[in-house]
Amino acid sequence: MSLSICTGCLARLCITQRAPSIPSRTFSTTNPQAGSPTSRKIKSTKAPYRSSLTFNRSRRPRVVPKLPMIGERKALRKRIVISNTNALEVQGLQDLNVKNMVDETQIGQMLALNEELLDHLRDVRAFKPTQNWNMFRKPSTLMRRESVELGRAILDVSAGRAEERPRTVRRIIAGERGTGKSLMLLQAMSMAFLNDWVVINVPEGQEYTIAHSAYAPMSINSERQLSPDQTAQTASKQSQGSQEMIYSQPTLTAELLQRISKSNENVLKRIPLAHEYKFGDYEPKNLYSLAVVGVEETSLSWKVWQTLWEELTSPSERRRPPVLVAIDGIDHWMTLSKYRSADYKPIHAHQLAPIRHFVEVLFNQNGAGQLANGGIVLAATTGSNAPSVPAFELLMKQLDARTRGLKMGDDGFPMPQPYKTVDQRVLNLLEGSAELNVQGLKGLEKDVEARGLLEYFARSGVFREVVSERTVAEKWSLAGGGVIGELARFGSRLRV
Amino acid sequence: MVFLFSVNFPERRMVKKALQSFFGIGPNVSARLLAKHHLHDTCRVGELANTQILEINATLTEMKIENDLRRQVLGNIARLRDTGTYRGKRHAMGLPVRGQRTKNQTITAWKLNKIDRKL
Repeated sequence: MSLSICTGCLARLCITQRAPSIPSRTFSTTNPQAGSPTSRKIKSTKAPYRSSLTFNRSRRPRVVPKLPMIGERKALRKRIVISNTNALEVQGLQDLNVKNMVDETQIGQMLALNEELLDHLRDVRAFKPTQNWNMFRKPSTLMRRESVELGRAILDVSAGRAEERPRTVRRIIAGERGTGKSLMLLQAMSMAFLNDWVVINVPEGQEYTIAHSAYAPMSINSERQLSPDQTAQTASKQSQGSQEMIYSQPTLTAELLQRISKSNENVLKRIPLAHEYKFGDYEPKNLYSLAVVGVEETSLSWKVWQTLWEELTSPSERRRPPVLVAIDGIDHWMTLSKYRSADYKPIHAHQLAPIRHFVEVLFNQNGAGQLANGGIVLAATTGSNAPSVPAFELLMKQLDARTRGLKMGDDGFPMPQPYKTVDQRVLNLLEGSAELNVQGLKGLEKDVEARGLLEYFARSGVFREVVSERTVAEKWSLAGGGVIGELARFGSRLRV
Repeated sequence: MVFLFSVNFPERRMVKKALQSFFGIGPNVSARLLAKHHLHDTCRVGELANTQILEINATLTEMKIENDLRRQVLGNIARLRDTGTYRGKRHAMGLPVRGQRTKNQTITAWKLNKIDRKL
């Protein structure tokens, strides 16, 4: 093979000629081996013989989106984050305790909830997803004038029990949306836990009426569940114009018992039963094991609840702790429920056994509200999700008028319009509820309470303004006169 | 899996929807059935006790649904035709039965109005 150049003189070697073995490339960070231009196959654009030229959708692999697990989205929606490690730690923040819960100098101060209390409150479902706990290092609540007053009521009842003068406080907390009604219940529960009370909480009244959980008819006298044949017989008796049917809600009662047993475990375990009970194979020894029976056997839950309530509220030789009953969203309990009777007629909320029980306790109907060991029955109306219930609105007006000293028949005492039908079940609650009063919650006081709240926001790093008289006044006015839910918006998002 | 009226339903299926899958049961009848057996709106098939399943099956057996109802509807149409009524004739011809105009298209009538109507 002859060379193209003379090896002796290299005369014809042209050094400017490009060397063929080194392909030049533009600058790239890609691995050169990956994209070798020579190895790339050129796809023929020619259609194969007798094949369709149209784009066939069915041959493409079907992309099935992965759906979230059952209940995952709801869990995310209802998630409650109680603390945030990114938030600044507020120096000198005191914990809520038995002493400072009645201390007037604490008005306008934020008080933190300690770890043990948090566990109890979480178990009893005291927190709501709409409250902005997730913006702060440690969950804390503002001591308002009403909170201190509530603390005093709790201490009074505790003292009354010690002196064998049991006292029962009944109260409905009413107010506009965002005025802190649910938080007042939370504070009451915290204070009750601190004083070793038994706390019974209904976190959402609506759950009992929207027909999302099981219900079953009960006989009226014994209030026990009926078999289907008995149901038919009782229903026929009802149609003959006798008493109304009562319905149990086993699942919700079991959930209630679970909340009670879990959050009050230490207190309930210390209390032995006054009588001996037998539920199937279960023979509970103390109040805790009694409540657990209802949790494990849903069909027995209503019977167990009745026994537990009787044990807690009846006079006994051994001292029992006072009881706090907290109910949120009571408006939903004053109208027809979404449940239907066997003949497809709507069931009134007062025909549902748990609701009937709590309403009787709150309004002291048929003597049900007498708690032998003392206690507080607190109910809050709902502001954001209130159903339109004219009868309950009228009842609230009547209760309000009564607190102002008016009596039925006086001038200015609100009465139903004569040509309108009003739910008499609700209006009849006024009788017997002499001790019940309505606490109207309004906005915060500007100089003490609103300032304390904004200072806490500023010290937590979510409110980046100087807290002066001017800013406090501005934010107080912007929040509709210190409505705490509106003020909390200044602490719900970081404004840079 | 749970058998209701000899149809197998997955446990996550709502009873309300399971009942509506039968010919002759719509939202209204389904809601009434639920109320009759004291079942709540969001009750799932898996939550039913055995006694409740038996009761529902007994109620469904008494009702005229599925093939019985289909047979009745077809029988009604056949009776109209056999007695020579105007409605029967219109069914047989695949034309609108209830006085609708036929100047323009009557697609629904072509599709549905037959003696052996598909149900």
